[in-house]
Amino acid sequence: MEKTLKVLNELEKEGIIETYAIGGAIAAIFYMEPVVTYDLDVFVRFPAAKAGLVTLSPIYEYLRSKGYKVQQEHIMIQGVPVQFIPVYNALVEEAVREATGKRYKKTKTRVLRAEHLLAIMLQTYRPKDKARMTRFLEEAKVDRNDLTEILKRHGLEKKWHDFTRRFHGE
Amino acid sequence: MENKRQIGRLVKKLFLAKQQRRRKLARLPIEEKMRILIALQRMENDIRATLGRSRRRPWNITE
Repeated sequence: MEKTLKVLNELEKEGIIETYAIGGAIAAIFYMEPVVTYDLDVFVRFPAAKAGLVTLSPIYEYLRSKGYKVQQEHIMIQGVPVQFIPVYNALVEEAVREATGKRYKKTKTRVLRAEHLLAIMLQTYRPKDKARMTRFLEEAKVDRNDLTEILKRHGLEKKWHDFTRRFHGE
Repeated sequence: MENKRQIGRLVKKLFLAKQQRRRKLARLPIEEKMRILIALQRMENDIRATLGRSRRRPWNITE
């Protein structure tokens, strides 16, 4: 995992991407009890000059040149299947911009904040997101004021209200 | 009636203990959580094999 993160940092350093942040289940594991997952989801922003044409090709080309293999929608980096996801809407854009710095052993990395993770789960709202949200709320430290602001900014208040009423009887 | 109440109290206590354990696990260092994740991947993979489902490869990391 540490070696994988070093490669992600290298992508940033080499200017292939502007920045990245870990999302999905692995980001959730930073805040809650471990759950089974096989993917490392990485949200990426590209440098402004390349932003017009959003394609993952530069990442794939660079990593292939380093000997990493593509397997379906993943690229295996140091034994970990990584899925790169370009920022695809305003919420994810904000989440990546405001991601928090974390350390894995001696390596720095960036992880989505708990409040943004929850908002993205709410926006995506697949069955696994609903299940994860319930546990996340039980186990993770979530700044409710911050979450409320995020939900407001991205038009998710009603959905949140419906979710809490349905699953938490609030 | 008293039996039912006792069972109710016991179940409540068990659920509370589970919740406390999950919260404790949530506070573990990320490196320890990753070790747990890989153990979970291996366990799930064995179960999938037993059930004849397609296998998924656990992470091949040595840290």
